[in-house]
Amino acid sequence: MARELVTGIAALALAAAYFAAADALPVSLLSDEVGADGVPKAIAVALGLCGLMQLARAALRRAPAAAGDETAAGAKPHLRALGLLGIAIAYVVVTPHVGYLVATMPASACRSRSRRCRSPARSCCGCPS
Amino acid sequence: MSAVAAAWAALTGGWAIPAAFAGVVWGIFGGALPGISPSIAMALLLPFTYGMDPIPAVVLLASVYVGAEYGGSIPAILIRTPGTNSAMATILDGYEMNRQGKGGEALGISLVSGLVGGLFGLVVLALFTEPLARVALAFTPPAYFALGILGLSVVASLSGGSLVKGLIAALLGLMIATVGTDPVSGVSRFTAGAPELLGGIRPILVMVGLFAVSELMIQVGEPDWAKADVRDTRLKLPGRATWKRMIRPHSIGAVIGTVEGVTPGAGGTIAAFMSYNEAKRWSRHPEEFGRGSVEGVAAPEAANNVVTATALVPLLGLGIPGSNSAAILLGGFLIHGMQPGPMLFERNPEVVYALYGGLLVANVAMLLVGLVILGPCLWLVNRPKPYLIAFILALVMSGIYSIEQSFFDVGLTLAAGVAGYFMRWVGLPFLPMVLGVVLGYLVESNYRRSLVLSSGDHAIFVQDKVSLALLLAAVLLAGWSLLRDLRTRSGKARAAGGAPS
Amino acid sequence: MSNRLRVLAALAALPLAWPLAEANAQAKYPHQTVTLVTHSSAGGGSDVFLRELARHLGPAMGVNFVVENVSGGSGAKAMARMAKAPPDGSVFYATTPTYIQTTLLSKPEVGYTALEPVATVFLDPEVVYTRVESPHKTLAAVIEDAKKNPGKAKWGAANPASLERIALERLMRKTGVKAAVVSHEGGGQLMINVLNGTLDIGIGEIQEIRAQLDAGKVRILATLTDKRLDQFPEVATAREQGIDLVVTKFRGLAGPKGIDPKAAAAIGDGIKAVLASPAYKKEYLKENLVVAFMPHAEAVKFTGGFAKEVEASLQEFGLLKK
Repeated sequence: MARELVTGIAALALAAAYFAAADALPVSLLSDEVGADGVPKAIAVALGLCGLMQLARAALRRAPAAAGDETAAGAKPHLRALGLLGIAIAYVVVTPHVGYLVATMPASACRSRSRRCRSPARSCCGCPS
Repeated sequence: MSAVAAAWAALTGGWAIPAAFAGVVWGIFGGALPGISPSIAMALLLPFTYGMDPIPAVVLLASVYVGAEYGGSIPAILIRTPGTNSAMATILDGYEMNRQGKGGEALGISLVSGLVGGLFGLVVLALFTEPLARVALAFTPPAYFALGILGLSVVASLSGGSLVKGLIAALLGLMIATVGTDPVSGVSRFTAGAPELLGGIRPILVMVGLFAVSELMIQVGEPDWAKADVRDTRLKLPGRATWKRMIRPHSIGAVIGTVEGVTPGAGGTIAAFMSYNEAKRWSRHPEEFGRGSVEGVAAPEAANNVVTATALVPLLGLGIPGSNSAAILLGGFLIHGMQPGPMLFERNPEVVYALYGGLLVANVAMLLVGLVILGPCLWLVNRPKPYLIAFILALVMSGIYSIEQSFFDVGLTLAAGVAGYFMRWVGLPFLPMVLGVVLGYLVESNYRRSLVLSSGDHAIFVQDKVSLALLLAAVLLAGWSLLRDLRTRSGKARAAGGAPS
Repeated sequence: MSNRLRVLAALAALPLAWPLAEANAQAKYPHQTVTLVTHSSAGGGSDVFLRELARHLGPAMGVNFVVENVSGGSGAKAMARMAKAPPDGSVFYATTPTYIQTTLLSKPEVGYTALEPVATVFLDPEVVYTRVESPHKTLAAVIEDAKKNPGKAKWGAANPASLERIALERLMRKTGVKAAVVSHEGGGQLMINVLNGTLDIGIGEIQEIRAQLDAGKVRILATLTDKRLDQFPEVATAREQGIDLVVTKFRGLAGPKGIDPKAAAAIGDGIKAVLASPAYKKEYLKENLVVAFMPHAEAVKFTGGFAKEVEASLQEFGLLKK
C-alpha cells in the first residue's frame, strides 16, 4: 500500500525536478524547433501524468489485508544491502589512492567477515587493464 | 572462382582457422564479463592484428563478435547479469530455467540457438549482401524514428502486472537516455558539469546496475541461497522434442535478426527483445514465457547471433559500419589496406570469401568451445554464496572499470544498483526502463532530425513509406498485447472472484 | 571519432619499421622514454596519428615513444592527466580542435589553457560532397539552386556542435541561404542520408567518404582548404568558387603549461625532419594529410588564435554565453 503511494509520489517529484532542469537548459541558435528541452519536457509531463494515475490507483484500491508481511522482516535486509553498498563504495574511493591489489584485499576480507566466511573470498578475478 | 580457391587456400593453409577458434574463445570470455561488450572485446584485440596477414586478422575480429554474443548469455542465465546488451532478453527465461535447476539445459539451448542463428545469418550475408544493403539506404530519419517506436511498443507487453508502472519505468529509461550532448544543438544536457557524462550513459552500466548490483544487495539480505544442490551441472543439448519447439522461435529470431542487423544503428538488443516478444505472441504456450520457457531463450539467442553476421551487410555492401562492433571490424580492414564497401568485392574478393568461411568455422568453434567451457562456468556458480557474491561484485566492478578505466562508470553502476533495489521494492519492472535507455537516443534524435528536414511538419512520419509501415506495425502490436492482457486479466479476476480467498 | 578510419589505415605497416630503431640522433633527447597521451581510444583518430608519428620519429630521435590512451569526456580526462604531468618534455598530448571545443563547451576543471602547444603537424582537409545522381557539380551550383528554391535545401554534418556543423552555419551566413541542417551520430549515418537523397550535401574528411568515392557513388563539390588537394587537382576550393570558407582541422602536439623550451624545440626539429622522410611522406600523402608544420612559438600563437575564433563563433551561434 505504502509502496504504491511512494511510487506515485516519487514519480511526481522526479517529473517536477526533471522539468525544472530541462527548463534551465541553455538555448542554442544551432537548435531546431523542438529544442534541447522539448523532448525532456514531454517526458516530464508524461511521467507526471503516470505518477498521478499511480496515486489514484493506490488511493482507490481497497486496503489489502496482508500489510504486515514486509514490516515483519524489519529493516535488517535493507541494512545488509546498505552494508554491501558501503563496501563497494569504499572500494571505489580507496582504490585510486592505494592501488588495485591493496584495496582488493581488505575489501574482500571485509566482505567475507560480514558474511561470516571461513576464509577471505578471493576476488582477484581480473585486473583492470 | 579463383577467388574462392584463393580463399580456400588461405583458410586451410594459413592461420585463419586457429584465428577463428582464438577469436571465439576470447569473445566468449569477453562476452561473459559484464561490461565488456563485443565491440570492446574486439577493440582489445585490434592492436594484435597489425602484424597478422589480412585474412586471419579479419576472421579473428569477426569471430570475437560471434563468440561474444554467445558468451553474454552465460552470466545472463547463471547469475541474472547480462554479459552484453543483447543478452538482456535472455535473462527473462534463461535465469528462470536456471532457478528451476535447468541451467545446463538453458545454456545448451542458448548455444544451439546461437549456432542456428549464426549460420542463418551467414547464409543471408553470403547470398543477399547487395540487395540488402539497399534496404539500409531506405532508412531515412523518420524511418529510424518509427523503428525506435516499434521497439518501444514492446513495453506494453513487458510491463508485467501494471501498465502504469511499466510506463513509469520506460519514461525513467528515456530520461536517462537524454543525459549527454544534445543530438541536434550540441548543448550538454543534465550532465551537472561532469565531463564523463557528455557522451551519455552507456546502457550496459544501467543494465548491470539494475540487474546484478541490486540482485547482490538483495541476496546479502536473504538468509540463505535458494539453491538446489542436486542441480544438474552439466550442459545439456536439447533433445528432439525441444528442437521441435524451437523451430518457431528460431524462425522469428532469424527474420527479426536479419532486419535489425541490416539497418545500421538498430542492433542486437532490439532484435533480441522484439523476437522474444514475437515468439511469445506466436507461441502455443505463451503462458510459459517468463517462467522458464525454452522458446523464450531460443528466440533472442537466435536473433542476436543472426545479427553477428547480418550487421556486416552494410559494412561490406556500403562500407558503412552499422554498429560499434562493425566499426572495429572496419578498422581491421583498413589496417590491412582494404576499404570495405562496394569495391571490396572487386578488389579483394578472396578476403570476402575467406571471411564467410571464417565465420562458418567460428560458429562451429562456438559450439565446440561452448561445450568445453560450460563445465567450469557451472561449477563456479555453484560455489557457496558468500564467495559467489564477492566474486560477482568484483567481476562486475572490474568489468565496468575496464571499459574506460573509469571509476565514474563504476559509481554510475552502483547508483543504478540502488535505483534497481528501490524499483524492486516498489515493484517497477526493469525491462521497460532498459528499453527506454537503449532506444531513447535513437527515437529522440531521429524525431528531431525528421522535423528539421520537414521544417516542423509532423506529416513527414506518414509520408515516408517505411516509417508509415513501421508505425502501423507498432500500433497493431501494442494494441494486440494490451487487448490480450486485458482479456487474461479479466479472466483471472473472474476465476479469483469465484473462489473464496 | 569521425576520422578514426583514415588514420587507422595508416597503421598497416606499423610493425615493419621497428627494426630501423637504431639511434642516429644528432643530440640525445633528455628522456629515453616519452609518453604520448591521446583522448582517443585504441584505433581512434589521434591514437593512430600518434602511433604512426612515433614509428617514424622514434628511430630518428632515438627515443622510445609510448602511446597512452586516456579516453572519456571528449578529451577532458586526457587534459586533466596532462595538467599533472611534469613539463620536462617527457609527456605530450595529441591536439585536435576537439580539446578546444570541449574546453569551451563543457568547461572541465582543466582546459586547453593548462596545455602549451609544441608543434602543429598536419591539416585534415575537409570537403563538401554529394551523391553522383545529384545534378550539381560544384558547391557554387548547389548554393545557386538553394537560392532559387528557398526552404528546400537540406545539408548534413556528422556531429552536433562539431567543427563541421559550425562550418555549415558559416556557409549559410556567408551565402545568405537558409538550409535545414541535420547533425548525425558520426559519418556513417550522414553518408546514408546523402546517398539516399535525404540531404543535398554532406561535409566531412576525405577518408570518411573514401569507400563511396572509390565506388563512384559520391562526388566532391569543393574542398574547404587554402589550396587544391594534390590528389584531387580538378576539384576547386570553395574560395575559388566564390565562397570564402576554410575549415582548419589541425593535428599537433602539446605539453603541460611551461614546458621546457629546449625539449619543445627538439621535438619540433625531430618532427620537421621526419616529415621530409620519404617513408613517412608516402603514408601521409596517401591519406590526403596536408603538412602544416609550425614550431613551438608559432604553434602557441596559432592555437591561441584558433581558440579565440572558435569561441567567437560558438558565442555567435548561442552555444556559449558571452
